[in-house]
Amino acid sequence: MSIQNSDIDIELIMQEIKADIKEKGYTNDLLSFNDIVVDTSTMNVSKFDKISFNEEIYTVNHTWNVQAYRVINGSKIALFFKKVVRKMVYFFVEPIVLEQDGFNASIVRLMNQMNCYVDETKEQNLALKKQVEDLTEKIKQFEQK
Amino acid sequence: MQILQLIPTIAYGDAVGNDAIALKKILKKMGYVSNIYAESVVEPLDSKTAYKIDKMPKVNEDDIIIYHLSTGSELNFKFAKFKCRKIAIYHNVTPPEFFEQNDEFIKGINEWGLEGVRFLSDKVDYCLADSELNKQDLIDLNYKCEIDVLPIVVSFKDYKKTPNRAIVKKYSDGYKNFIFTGRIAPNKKQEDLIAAFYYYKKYYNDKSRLILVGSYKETDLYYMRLKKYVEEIGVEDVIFSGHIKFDEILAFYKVADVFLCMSEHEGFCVPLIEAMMFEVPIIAYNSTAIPGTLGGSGFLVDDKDPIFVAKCIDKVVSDKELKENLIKNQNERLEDFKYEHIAEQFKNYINAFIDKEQV
Repeated sequence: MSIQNSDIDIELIMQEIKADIKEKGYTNDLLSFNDIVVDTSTMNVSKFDKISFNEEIYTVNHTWNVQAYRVINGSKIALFFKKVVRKMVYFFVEPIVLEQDGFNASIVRLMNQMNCYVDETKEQNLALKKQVEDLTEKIKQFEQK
Repeated sequence: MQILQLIPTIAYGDAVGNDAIALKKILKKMGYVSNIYAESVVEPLDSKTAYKIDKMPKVNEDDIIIYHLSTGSELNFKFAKFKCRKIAIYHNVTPPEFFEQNDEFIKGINEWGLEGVRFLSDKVDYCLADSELNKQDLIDLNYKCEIDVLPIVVSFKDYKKTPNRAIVKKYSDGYKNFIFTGRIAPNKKQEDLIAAFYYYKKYYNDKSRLILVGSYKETDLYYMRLKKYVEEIGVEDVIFSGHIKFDEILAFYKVADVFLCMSEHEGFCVPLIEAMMFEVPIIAYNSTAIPGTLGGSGFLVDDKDPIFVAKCIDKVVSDKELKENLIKNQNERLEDFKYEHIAEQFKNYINAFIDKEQV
């Protein structure tokens, strides 16, 4: 269902607004967002964020396994040459990729261990916090007696 | 017969995940065995909401799997192999070009997502699309099966919860609050909101703030560029909320004077519905599914010039009659998205699909 803006004429309002801006002589001289460049050589994180951590864990668990074999496309002739090149470099590329995958797998396992550690520590902290609160309350009660 | 739902990732607060959870409830009410299975269940969601895919039971030919299609995943390709009846719900994949300068990884995921959507074009029996735009996308991608439009199910009941009191108190200080809700992402064009807000503050009211409610990663290049943009142009009172709790989101809607959306790609845009629920007047840029979701309500702008948008904000804030009319129209439009209405539509579509298949 579509609402008919019977009481409002948005088109007319927009025309009036544009005329008003023209009359006042306002012009947009703001810095363009396209000119904003940031240095990405550092990947600083200033505080721990469990949601981002989980998202990164998800990403690494799904992307650690890099494949040396690539499906190739193109015309018959291009396909032929690409297949020849793939065959020629495979013996060289495959061991490097396997080595990299081994390293990636270790890092991902390490991160998964860290994830478990964070969760376990969080639970322990909560339990300890509760214990401290209970004990503080008991001390207060003793002091009042 | 069981009707299962399959989704690559289900996360707290995610519109697609929320849709799956809402559909699960409707399917259960219809009397079907229905669970959600995902490759990844992101905390804090628990295993009761969705199960890991390796727990998925065997499916028979008369069973139905509903697959939520919205991103790049192995599941997009594995889904075709299930020997049962298959329904895809298309939530749209953000065009990869938006991530060109910002995130090569997400760009790759979305390219893979579109490849998956294309791959499934002749392998599903029926499709549901969140919007007319999504339906048209599927037709353009050569889908020949029947496609119906079913808006995302939004549980209105959840929005009746008490908003976070501390946030309501903090931001009810006489400042005008403009909000946009959605993760920090290049297609959502948060830079256009910042630019418009800069001019609003400069020409109309310095006692105002822009609140960008939505998650981000500290290391995300687009987020870093936005932060730098705010610094470089020297605009104050731009707040990045980050990932926050649901009651805090409700609080930001509660204190909002205008909901501002300059997004250039939306498959549906749930935050528009949320703004309608809180009777916050909407100013939105006319792109993709946004006019469809607004359905003639809201203040739909055809120009992104920040000075023009700033004046539109001022007009909505200062013209009481206009504001009241916008809210009145939004309230009328909201009726179309009521839970009971969409749930009924979904039931009818599913029953029609089952009946048709049995004939």
